[in-house]
Formats: sequence, C-alpha cells, structure tokens
Amino acid sequence: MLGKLIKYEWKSTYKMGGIILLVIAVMTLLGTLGFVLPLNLIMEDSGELGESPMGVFMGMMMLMSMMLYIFALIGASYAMMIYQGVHFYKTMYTDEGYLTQTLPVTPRQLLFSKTFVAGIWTMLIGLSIMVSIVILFSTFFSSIITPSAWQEFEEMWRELQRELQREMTQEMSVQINLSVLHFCLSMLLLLLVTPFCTMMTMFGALTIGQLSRKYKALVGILSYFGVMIVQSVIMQFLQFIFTFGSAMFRFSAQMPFYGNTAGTYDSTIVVSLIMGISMYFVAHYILTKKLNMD
Amino acid sequence: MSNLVEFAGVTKCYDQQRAAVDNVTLSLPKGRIIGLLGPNGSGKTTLIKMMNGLLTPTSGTIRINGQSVGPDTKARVAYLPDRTYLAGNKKVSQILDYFVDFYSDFSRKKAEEMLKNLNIEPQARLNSLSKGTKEKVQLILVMSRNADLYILDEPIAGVDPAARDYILRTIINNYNPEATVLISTHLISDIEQVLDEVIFMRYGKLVLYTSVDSIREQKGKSVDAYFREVFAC
Repeated sequence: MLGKLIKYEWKSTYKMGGIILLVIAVMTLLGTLGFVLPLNLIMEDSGELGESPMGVFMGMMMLMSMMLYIFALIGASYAMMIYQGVHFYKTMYTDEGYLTQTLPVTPRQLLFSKTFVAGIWTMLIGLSIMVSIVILFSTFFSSIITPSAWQEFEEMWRELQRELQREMTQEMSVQINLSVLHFCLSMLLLLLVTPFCTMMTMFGALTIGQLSRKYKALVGILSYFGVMIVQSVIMQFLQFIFTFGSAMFRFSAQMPFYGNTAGTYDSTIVVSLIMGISMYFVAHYILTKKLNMD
Repeated sequence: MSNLVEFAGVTKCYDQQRAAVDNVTLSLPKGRIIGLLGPNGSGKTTLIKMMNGLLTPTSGTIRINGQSVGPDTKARVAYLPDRTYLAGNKKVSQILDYFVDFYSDFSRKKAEEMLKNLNIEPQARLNSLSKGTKEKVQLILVMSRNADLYILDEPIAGVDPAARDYILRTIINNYNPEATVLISTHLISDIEQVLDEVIFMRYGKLVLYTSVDSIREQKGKSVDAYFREVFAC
C-alpha cells in the first residue's frame, strides 16, 4: 500500500513541481542573459567596468536582473513549500480527506508517503536552485575573466599551494583535509536531510491545527510559525556556542579551520532532525488518537 | 445471526456542554438494510464518522467484524460521505484506477457498467459534472465494492426524485446480500420501502432500534408517520 500511496502522491504533485522547476530554468536563462549581455556590452564599450554613462546604465540593468533573479529563486522555493502545505492540508483534512482517511492504510503509511514525496520535491527544487546559481556565476566569471587573467589566477593558486606545503606540517595537512571532508559531508547531509525534516515539521504543525474545534487551518499555520521560532532560537543558541566556543578553543586545542562552520551545520541538521521526528510523532499521535474530521 | 457491528458505550463530545453521541450501545446484524434516522443534529453523521475512523470516540468502543476501527475494517467498509470527497480535477477513469489500486473488493467492470447505464463518460473530469452526477459517481464507486458493510450518509439528499429512484435501485441491486447497508437520511418516505430495520436517534441518544415490520404491525403506521409522531416538535 505504501508504494501505491507514494505513486498517487507523486502523480498529484508532479505538475506543480514541474512548473516550479521550469520557472527556475527560465529564470536562470533570463538571469544569465540579463547579467551577461550588459556585461558584454560594457566590455565592448570601454573594455572595463568603468563609470561611463553606458557602464552606469548597464550596471543598473545588471543589478535589477540580479535582484529579480534572487527574488524569483526565493519565490520558487517558498512556492513549493506553500504548495506542499496546502496540498497536504487539502488531501488530509478537507473534503478530500474523507477519502484519504478512509483508505485501508495506516496513519504511518499516509504520513510517510506525503513526507517522502514532498521532501523529494523540496530537495529537487533546492538542488536546481544551487545548479542555477553555479550556472549564473560560472557564466559571469567566464565573461569577465580573460584567458590571460585566468592564467595569472592559475599561477597564483599553484604558488599558494607550494607555500602552504612548505609551511604546513603533516598533522596540519591531515587536519585540514578532515575538516574539509567534514564540511562537505555536513553540507551533503544538510541537503539530504533538511527537506524531509522541514516537511515533517510543517505537516506536524498543520496536524496540530486539527485539535482546534473551529480554526483548524489558522491554528495549524500559527503552530508552524511557533515551531519555527522555537527551532530558530535553538539554532541561534547553538550557533553562538559554536562560534564563540570554537574561537576560544582554536588557540588552545588547535580547533580545525572549518570547525565552527561545520559545527553550525551539524547543529542545524541535528535540530532539524529532532524537530522533524518529534513533529512526525505528534502528527501520528493526533491521526491515531485525536482525529476530528468535521 | 452473528453481529457485524458492535457499539459499546460510545460517546463523542465536541465540547464539555453536550455529547453529540451519548453512550450508544448497539449491535447491527449481517444482511440487513438499516435506516439511521433522526432530525438534524441527532448524532447520525457523528456515529457514522466514528465507524469510519474519521472521528475518535471520547469513550466506548466500536468493533466491525470483531476488529477495532483501522485499516482492516476500512478495507471491508464502503463509505459514502455526505459530501464530494473526490478531487475535481481528476477524470472518472482515474478515480476508478485509484479504487482498483486501494480496494481489493472493487469491481471495475461493475463500475463501468453502471457508468454506461447512466451515460457518464469515463473520460469526463469530475468538475465538469453536475452535483447530482457527482453524487451518482460516488455512489457507483461505493456500490461497486463487495464490502461487508455499506455506510451511506444522506445518499439521496440534494438530488431530484428520478435520481433518488435510480440511487435506491442501485443500492438494492448491487449490495452483497451477506452485507449490511446502513443508510442515514431524513427523507424517510423515499427509502422506507427498502429498509429492513430502523434506528431512531435524538440528541445523540439511541431512541429506538426495531424492524420496519414491527412498526407497521404494532403501531399500524408507516415508518415516516411514526417518525413524525416520535419527533414531533
């Protein structure tokens, strides 16, 4: 039954997910054109990013393109989240919920299927936003960096590496490599885990709204904001500890270079995970023991 | 005759002031068409929702086929709610696929035959159909299952008399004779002819559970006339 639930959940969300992915692709194209075309015109006009009238005008164009692009990406991310919340609420707790809740499946299967599909979509949107940013910046840099400048940069990089090899001990080198590995793993986990945790938290909060007799949707939304505020406070607190704690320890215990950054990401993952799992169990409890479909 | 449904001291309170269903203890046998009758707010829909797991009882237990309400009972209960529970953007054929996938007792062939009889196009989207036709589609979905218990909440409310006749014919001709059909309505005269037994409810309490024949024989009245007498304002 779980496979069937996932299949139908995917079928009912793929259109909106596809549209949002398409919007990101179009915005990447427009953002790249809006950023690179004025840049090329400036380079053709004066050969540098100077203060000529053309340069100022094109600079404004670039700034506007960049702002539009950023707003569009943020909008796409929020659109997906809002859509998933509305879809969950509609299929679970409105008239359509009368069919969903009377299917011969367990509340656990229902919650899992919805969290899994919503999490996959959130992850896909997050990945596409990252790819879009990489495309935009690589296009930007390839426009402004001439082949000779690139050669100079490569030479500088090699020099830096040689310098580091001379200065660094074997132990320091291993330490840095481990830190970089830790950082990359933290980033990967963040990308893989947080979309599902975010969805579990949102679905749990919307389910809490079902405990209200009259204002189910409103209480659900308010619960979500409440949970997010608590989560942010905990994360800020942990970030404070990692930032100042690592600064103090670095002098005495040779804290890894990426220690505080990775620590912040680790705490974000752990807090998201604890919050997501807690809200999943809250939702499961309400669906099993307290469901009230008016 | 063994019982299909057992209610034991079932109470549902939405608030502390009044119970929507108040300490109902009742057993429903197999192979009957039972009318669940009562004025508005008598607790009929609340009782039905608890049987389908849409509401959790405040106290008491409900057992169907000896099991507590859950995935196993939902697999054997065909429920028609008092509202449209199908997504409007779906085609009728897609909804049939959905029922085939989730209900092992669903007969696609039977559903397609009924749709054909009513000239409902399987490729039509639900939001392009009239309210009455949507209700017929939902009824077809429910009656195409070979369930142990059919629970129909106001199946004939809001449709014209001709459609009511069709709906009642569909219920009579398609339900599994070993199964029980529980029909909630306040349009008693329209369904009286098909009922074996009736349950009267008022203010959440069970007022009467008896056979239609006994009302006719002992009271000398139709169920509709007796209902009007019992619930006279």
